[in-house]
Amino acid sequence: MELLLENVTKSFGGLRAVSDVSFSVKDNVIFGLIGPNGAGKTTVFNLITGVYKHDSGRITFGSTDIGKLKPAEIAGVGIARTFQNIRLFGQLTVIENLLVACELQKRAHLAAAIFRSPVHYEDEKAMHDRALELLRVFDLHRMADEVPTSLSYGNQRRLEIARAMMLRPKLLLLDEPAAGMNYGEAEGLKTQIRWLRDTFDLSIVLVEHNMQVVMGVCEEIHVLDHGETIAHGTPEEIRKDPKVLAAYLGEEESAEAVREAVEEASRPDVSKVDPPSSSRLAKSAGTSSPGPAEEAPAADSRPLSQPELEEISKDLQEKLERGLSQPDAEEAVADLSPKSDPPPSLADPAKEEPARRPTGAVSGAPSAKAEPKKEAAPTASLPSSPFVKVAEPKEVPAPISVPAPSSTGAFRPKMITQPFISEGELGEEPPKQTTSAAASASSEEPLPRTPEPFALAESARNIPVAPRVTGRDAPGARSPSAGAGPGRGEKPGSTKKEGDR
Amino acid sequence: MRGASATRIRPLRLAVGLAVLGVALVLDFTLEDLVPDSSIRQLMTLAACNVVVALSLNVINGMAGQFSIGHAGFMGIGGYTSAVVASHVHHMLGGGEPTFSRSFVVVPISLLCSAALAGLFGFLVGLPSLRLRGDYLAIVTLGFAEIFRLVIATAQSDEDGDVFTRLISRLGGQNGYQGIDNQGVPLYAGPFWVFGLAFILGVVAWRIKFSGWGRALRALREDEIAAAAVGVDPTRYKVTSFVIAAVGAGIAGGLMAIMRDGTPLVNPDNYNFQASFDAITMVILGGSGSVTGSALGGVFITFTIKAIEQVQALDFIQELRTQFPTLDLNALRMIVYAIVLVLLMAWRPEGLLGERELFQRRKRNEGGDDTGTGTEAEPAASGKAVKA
Repeated sequence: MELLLENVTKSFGGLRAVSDVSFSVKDNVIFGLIGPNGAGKTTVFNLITGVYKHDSGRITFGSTDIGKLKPAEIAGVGIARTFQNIRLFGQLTVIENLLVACELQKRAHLAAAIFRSPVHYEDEKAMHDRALELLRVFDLHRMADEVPTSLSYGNQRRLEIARAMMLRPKLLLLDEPAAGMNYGEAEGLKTQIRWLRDTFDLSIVLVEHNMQVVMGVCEEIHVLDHGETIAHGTPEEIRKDPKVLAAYLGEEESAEAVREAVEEASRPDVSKVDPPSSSRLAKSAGTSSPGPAEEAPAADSRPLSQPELEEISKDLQEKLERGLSQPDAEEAVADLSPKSDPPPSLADPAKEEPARRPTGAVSGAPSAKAEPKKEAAPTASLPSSPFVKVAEPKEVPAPISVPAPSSTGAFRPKMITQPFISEGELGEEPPKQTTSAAASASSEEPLPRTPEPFALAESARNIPVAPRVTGRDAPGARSPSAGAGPGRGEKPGSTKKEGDR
Repeated sequence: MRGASATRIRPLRLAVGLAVLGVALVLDFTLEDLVPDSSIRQLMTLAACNVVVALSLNVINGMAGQFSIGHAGFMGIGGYTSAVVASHVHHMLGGGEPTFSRSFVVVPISLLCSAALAGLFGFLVGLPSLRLRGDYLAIVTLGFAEIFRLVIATAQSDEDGDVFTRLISRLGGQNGYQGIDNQGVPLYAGPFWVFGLAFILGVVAWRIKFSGWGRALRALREDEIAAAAVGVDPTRYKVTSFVIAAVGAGIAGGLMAIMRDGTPLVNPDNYNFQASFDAITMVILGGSGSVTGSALGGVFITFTIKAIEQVQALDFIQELRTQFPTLDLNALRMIVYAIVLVLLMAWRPEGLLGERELFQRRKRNEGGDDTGTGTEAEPAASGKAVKA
């Protein structure tokens, strides 16, 4: 369904927060809504979700005029959102946070709950299964009974998205999902956003300040400034738009140029850490480590293509070498930190996972398999250009599974796709695993690997849509938990476990 | 314990429930022998009624987090309604002594009327005020309760007035309603009804709390905007919970008006602000949001009131009173409450139980283990508390 805003205006007293804004979000699009602080982005979200009522104009979703609906009704229409400042239900457990979002879908109403009718139990069971399913997808299932306040910031953000996904939305509004994330986490977020779109078959509107994310993931961008539209187009167009550069991107790009400079400077170190990636460095400028930077060229190489920005970057690089006195440069260094030391952002799940890992023989084999894959993956990722992704959404899943090795960006998609691997996709795993592992190990060709994510996404697509009626059978529901391992090496272990059952 | 057996009736639970009702039934006939002191009996049944009061107030104050301080108004509506209905039904049945078999006609009819009328008023009061921010509800409910009480108390018998005035004046004004021709309100609700209903309503309250609906209410209390964003309509949920609270208060008030060991009189002063405040104290003391906590609070407060009265009856205090005629421990009660509440807020702001429950089983959702909700244990609590 298409979200359509036509000449929407909203004033707060004398302030025109949103003025005559029109845009449409088509099916299956990742749409960026950007602009400087105070541009009215969040206000637009609040108008779409009914928190505010617009003064004039029209907001429709599909054939429904949602401008006059209440927020809860809009949620029912299929629009879910997250909040800029995380809004979780602090005193409900993690899983209860998700269950609240089922209110619209359940058939059992209050009377059914009071009399504990069969419908109530069926609903509760289906809701629970679905919630656990989603928690596994977002790797939060181990914290299901904790209160969200005890979760880390990143987990809280993911929990919010998981809660929104409980609504089975057709349109997901993410309000600054990358806020407070470091470079590696933001890279992970990009793949997650794409994965969400592909797996759950929805459109995503993104309000975000982080250009790394916006330029890397959005297919269409709408730029607001002081409540007014100043530009609309593809990331490339937006990048070149003088108005946008003036209003907004100017600062951002210099920051990115700095980051680039820093990357350049730190290249030798990185290549030491991960030798295979050095070959890639030659090809795509500014890319340092396989995983997190894998997407980076999208953001980083583009400004390079413009001579003037190249100049800036050189300029800044010089400054940088003199000493990182510029605040921007310092930021860039902070951004880089996950690169020189990839594990940190995946540290928490990685630490937890070994403890929960299936015992004995299982753990031995996968680690052996993990080795070849690690080496194979970076080369496999080579051909996938971020530009291709933007142009061809269908290609998107490929990078998701590819950045497998220990890099941060690669980790998240891993754990996201993994839950679904067990969904019959890997019936008798050990042989299949070995073949795919062998294939990727023996040859540099991406072919045996790329189809896999498609298959995964395909099988995954059915899962979130159907479960309420059918209710997952035990193995199907169980296996993902085992599969949510941090590294590719975990996969064979979990799948083996699955096969045993 | 969920899963395959989820939809099956659990025999043990059913047995416990029936056993409690059975005990209540036996008590209906034996309580007078077991507890010869009628004031103690009255206290016990009153405690059960107060449990219902606390349970119902807990729905709106504890679960939904909306501060209603006019609960006595709905109790009053329930009390007057059930007194009037019971009197008339009793009259139609031919009068005489209230018998147990007849109570199966009189009590359900009166209580249903109480619940319906209180619920209706709850809707009328809640709908406008709950659309606004939380504080308005407190003001509106307080105003509503006082208006209700004063309308009844100040009604003059005026046979020339309009229908409304004449109807209201039949309720006895300041002297209270004493049944048809001042014969007294027939006291039909014996221990079976009082304890049994307290138990059943306790189960209902528990189930409300541990349903998706109760979860949504708690979510609403945490963050209204986020709750709305995931499809929980704040107005609808708040108004419904307010109506539920009003219905519960109506039933509690109705029970109090016709309970066997009570007084055959419904007096507007029973429903003054103090009654509302007592109800709030029960909930807060026991643990706002906790079903068993509220029930305990209801019992505790009831007995505290009685204990203070007992203390007042001591010779020592009576002697003191001859010297200081202004000494009134009942008035002191408010001071005691205030001190208790202040101390409680300082040390345990969430009440005795907080939001937890007695007999609550927690299940783990961890890993791949699919055992549904563990917060399913039925509350034998309220029933036990009643008989404590």
